[in-house]
Order: sequence, then C-alpha cells, then structure tokens
Amino acid sequence: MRKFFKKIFYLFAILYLVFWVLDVGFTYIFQEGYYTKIQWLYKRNNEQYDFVIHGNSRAYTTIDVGIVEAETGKKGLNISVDGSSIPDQYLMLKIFLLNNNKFKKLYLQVDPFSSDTEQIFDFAVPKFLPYMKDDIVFDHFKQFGPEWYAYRYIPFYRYAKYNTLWGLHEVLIDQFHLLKQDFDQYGDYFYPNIDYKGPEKLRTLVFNLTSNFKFLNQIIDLCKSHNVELILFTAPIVDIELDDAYYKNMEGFKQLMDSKGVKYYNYGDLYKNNPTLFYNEIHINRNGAEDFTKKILPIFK
Amino acid sequence: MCWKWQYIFLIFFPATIDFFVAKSMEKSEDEKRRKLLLVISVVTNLGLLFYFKYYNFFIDSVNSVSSIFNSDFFIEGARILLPVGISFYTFQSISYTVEVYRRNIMAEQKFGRFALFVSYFPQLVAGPINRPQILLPQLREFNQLNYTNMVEGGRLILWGLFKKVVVADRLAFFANIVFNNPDSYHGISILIAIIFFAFQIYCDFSGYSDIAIGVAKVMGVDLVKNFDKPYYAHSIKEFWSKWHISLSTWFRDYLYIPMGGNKVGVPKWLLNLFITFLVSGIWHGASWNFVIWGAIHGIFIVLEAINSKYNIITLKLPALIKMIFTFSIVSFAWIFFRANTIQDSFTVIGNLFDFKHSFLSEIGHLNGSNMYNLALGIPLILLLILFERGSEVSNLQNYFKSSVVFRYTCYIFLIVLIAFFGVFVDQSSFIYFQF
Repeated sequence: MRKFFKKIFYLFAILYLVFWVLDVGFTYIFQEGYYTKIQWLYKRNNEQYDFVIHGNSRAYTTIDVGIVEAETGKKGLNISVDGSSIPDQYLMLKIFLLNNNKFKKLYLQVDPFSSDTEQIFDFAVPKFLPYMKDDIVFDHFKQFGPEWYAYRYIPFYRYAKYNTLWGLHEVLIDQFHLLKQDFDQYGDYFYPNIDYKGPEKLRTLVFNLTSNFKFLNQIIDLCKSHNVELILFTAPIVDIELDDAYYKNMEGFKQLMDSKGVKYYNYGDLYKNNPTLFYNEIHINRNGAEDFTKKILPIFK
Repeated sequence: MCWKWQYIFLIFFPATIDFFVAKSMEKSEDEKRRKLLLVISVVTNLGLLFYFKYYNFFIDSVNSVSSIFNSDFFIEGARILLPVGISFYTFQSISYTVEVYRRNIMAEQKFGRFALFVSYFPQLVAGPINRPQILLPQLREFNQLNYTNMVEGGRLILWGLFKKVVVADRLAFFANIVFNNPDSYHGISILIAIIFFAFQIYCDFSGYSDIAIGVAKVMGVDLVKNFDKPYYAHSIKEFWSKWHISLSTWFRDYLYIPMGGNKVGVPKWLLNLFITFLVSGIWHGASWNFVIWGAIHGIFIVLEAINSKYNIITLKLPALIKMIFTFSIVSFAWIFFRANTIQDSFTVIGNLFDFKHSFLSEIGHLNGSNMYNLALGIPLILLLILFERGSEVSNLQNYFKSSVVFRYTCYIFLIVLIAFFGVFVDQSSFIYFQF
C-alpha cells in the first residue's frame, strides 16, 4: 500500500507542476488577449470620456456611441458586457475607475427583472477567470461561494471547468489573433436587422420597489465617490403588459431613484410593443439602435 | 430517475423476500412449492418494476386507445418517481432466485451479505448486472486492498472518466441541439448528430461501466465485463455479444433459453429471438420509442438468423464493409432511442435524406461554444478509436507495462486531456441511470 500511495503522491506532484505551468501560460496569454469585452476593458487605462454606457446585453446592443459623438461632440465608450448581471457590472465599473479612467456621466441600463439581483450568471462571470489572482476580482467574487477559492488557489481548475470558454481554442485565438472582436471601437455591438414578428405573449414587468438594490446602491455610491453623474435608463422591450400597474411602478422606481439623487429614464415602452425595430423580445436590431440613439440624444446633451 | 430516502425500502423489500424465498427453495424438495416460491420472487421484482417504471406508460397507452374510439374512459396517471437503478437491481435479484431454483448455487445464509449483493454500490445504478455465482463468492471474502487491484482499478476509472466527460458529454451538445429541434436540421447535420449520439451513448454507458468495474476492482471485487468494442461488430448478433453484455446474457439465460431458445422449430426460434429483443427494448424505457428500437434490432437479428440457417446471401464482404453496415443499422435504431417522440424520430429520418439545405448555413446559427463542441466531436471520436485500437497493439501494451516513464506520461496526458476537453459546467448525468 505504501508503494501505491508513494506513486500516487508522485503522480499528484507531477500533475500539480504540469497544471501550474499550464495555469501560468494560459493566464499570460488570456491577459494579453484582446478578444472578449473584459480583456479589452482591462487594457483601457488613463483614458478620458464625457460619458460611459454600462449594463448587460441590453446596453451593449442598444446605443450607437458613434452617433452620440457625431451629434453632440461628446466622447463616449460602451463598457457593457453581454450576459452580465448587476454584481459583475459593479465590479467592471470599479476596475475601470481604478485603472484611472475618467468620465463625467455614467448611463447605466437597468431592468425590472434584474436590477436587484444578487446572483451572478454562469454565462458572463467566467470571463473574469483569467484575472482571479487580482485581489479586487477575487474579493468581489468570493462572496458568491467557496468555489471561487478553488478558482484562485487550485492551478488550472478554473480553465478546466470552463474549458469551452477558456480552452485550448481560446489560447490559439488569443495567441495568434485568429478572431476579430465582435464589438466596434466604441464597445458597441448591434444585432442584425431581421424580420422579427413579435412576442407570442406579453409579460408583466415591474421593479420590486421593496428590494434593497444592493449592487445598484453600491454603483450609486461608487459614482458619488468618483464625482460621476449616474443616469439610469431602461432600454426598449417589446413584450410588456402596458397597464396602469406598469406605469405606476415605473413612476415609483423613478421617485425612489430621485430620492437617491439619481435620474431615471424609462424607455421600456418607447415603441409600444411594435416589433419592427427589434431582434427579439428584449433586444433592438441595428436600425433600432440607430433610431433609439437619435430619440434619446437630449439626455446626452 | 430520482431518489428519496423512502426508496431504500424498494431495495430492502424485494431483497428480504428473495432472501427468504431462496432459503425456502433450497430446503424444499417439493417441486410445486419451489416453483411457487420462484413465482413469488419474480412477480415481486417485476411487479415493482412494472409499477414504478411502466404504470404511467401503460395508463397513457390505455387512455390513447380509449380516445381513438372517442370513449370517455380515462384513468388518472400516478405521481411516481422512477427509483434510481430499479431495472438493474431487480434483474440482479431475479437472477439470484432463478439460480437457486436451478440449484446452480446455494442460497446465501447471511442477509447482510445478500443485501450487499443486491445493492453493491459501484454497479447499483447502471450495472453491470452481475450473476450471483460471480459476485456473491467474492463478497464472502474479505479483500485487503492491494497494489495491483488499486492500479488496475484506477486505470479503468480514469479511462471511464475520459470516455464520459470528454467524449460523451462533448458529443452530447450537438446531438441534443439536433434531436431537440429536428425540424431545423437536415442531411449532413442530422447524419453527424446520429453518429455523435452513437458514440455519445457508447462512451456514456461504457464509461460508467468502466468506472463501476474500476471502483469494484480497487476494493478487490471483479465485476463482469460489459462492453467489448461493440462498433467493431460485423453483424447485429455480434454487436449484442459486445454491447451491454451483462444484460444481453441475462436475457439469453432467463428469457430466450427458457422460451426454448433455438431448440425448437424455426418459426418458434425466430419468434423467441424477436420477443427477446422486443422485451429488451421495453426494459430500456417506458415509451414506444424503445419498443420500436428493440423491434428494429429484433427484425435484423431474425433476418440474420434466417440467413445463417438457409444461406440466402452468401456474398463475402470485406470486414470493413460489414462493420460499417452493422454500425449504420445500429445508428439508425439509435434515432428511435434518442428522439423525444416517435414523431420526432420520423422527422429525423425524413430530414436525414433531405440534402437540399446547406450544412454550413444550418450550423451557422450555432453560438461559438456549440461551434467549438461540433468541431471537437470528430477529433474526439477519432482519438477514442485510436485509443481503443491502440490497446490491441501488443508492442504498445508491452511498452506500457515495461516503461514507467511511458506509463506516467500516458496517465498525465489523459488527465490533461480531461482537463482540456472534459465537460464540467452542466451536470450531465449518465444516460443509463434513467433505466
């Protein structure tokens, strides 16, 4: 038996070394990469903007920063990450500010169905894995469960678990620049114009006004501490039940944000459930982004 | 497939009955009484299996027939969870009482040991279904952990893990996309999905079997081999001698031979063969898809039997052609096994021969991850074939045995491959757990 455990020990020792080397190599290549939005944002240091757009895919695909720049002469950037939830949006904003980027206004897209969430989504969070050795990233994620300790301290575990996203193929893509970013120089991405017919049914969309909005409040505090004016907005949706309860709730959320000194614009019902400019229920298409941007230009002036 | 603590009694109850039935059978010289005791054991086990696995299927079928005749007759289905492993431990238990009845083995005298035989954890949920002659004597011995068993068991566990998390789970992504949306895919896409599923189910089930056999081996217990490179078979008959061997031999010994096997007239022999495969299909699941799957195998087995009896087709085909032909039939039958409904099965078959749609445009709709999963599929299947053929190359085997460096390199390579290509995010359970 001693012989067996001795050999197992050697095997584990060799494996530890192999995975440690792989971890270092993968981390280096991924941090050098430019392909995902997180990689792209991490490299933005000491930059100055008039405004920044932030949020999930509904902010990532909705405002054409180029049009805003052309029409207002103000310089902007879209730091939204598709699939992100408000906890990781808070982290992304924090990193962006810590990298000494300056901006006057932050336009944060908030949704009734996710603005108070305290959960993180499997889809977006792994994008932070190459940065797990950074204290700011680890300190943020460790509140979401003990597995984050494993991601930080067990060599290569995080890349093995999420190998579909951070696998060997991604090493090749990053190392040899095999794929182009799917977003433009402003950080915008636009869905193609398709013949979307509209939703099968409408749904009730309201903010939970009794929620404590933990991460939204942290974003508000972060903006105040960096002298950034925070403006919240809800991007168009095409499947809302537009009844009295909806309008009352939107007004209620507006008043709640007013009480915190934050402006809120609701554009959720801007197109009154007309699907012409939509890609799906919650995302507008390329033409929609152009139209929407022009319609909301006054808030950028 | 599910688990509740109360379900422990579903193992305990038939095990208790079988334990006492077997003891009584052993003591009794009265043939009628022995037969009655055997019937009690078989009815108890199959009764439980029927209720938990087939009751709702039976009720649904009755209701469907009733609705065809516009009758108001309707029976409410039961809210039942399918207990994990029930198809396996009931069959293992039946084999025990039958063998005691046939006086091939002595009845086990200690209940604890018999309960261990029925519920032996490595093979409880998905086999292999072990015979009492093989497993019970090993459980009577106290096996001290030894180096050789631990190394051999460890190798099997590692190999099984590779087949399951790397090959099966990776292939599952594209196969699931196509089989869950059969209307949207045609021609090459469907063909790839069918081939992927054929290798998915092989790696999933044989991977589990390897892990089960490996875990038992570590504890010094040898379980029966369950797979022997089935896709290299040259006929459906040979396929079933290499696929889920413990189940095929169970059906052979406890259903086919008792029905008369081939010691009867030709029509009855062919009927015995067909019934055996039909029952095997039903064993796999409570749905008409599995019945059709079993029937397809049954039909081809019967055709092969007729051909072997009367030499109708005497054409000598190259081994590779025979292998591809057998694989094609098996894969065709897998369509019914995998499709969500019978209607979906026919949609898949219809679309399989529709080459008007562009493969590239169909897969163009996949997201990046699923493109990656699709692209990895073929190399993984080739790697699996290479590894499996590799074990037949004696030079390589000798080198593996003699060179520590080569051996360790193989282990590390396999573990790194698992880390690189294993699927860990979705908790994909083993397909055969549902049976």
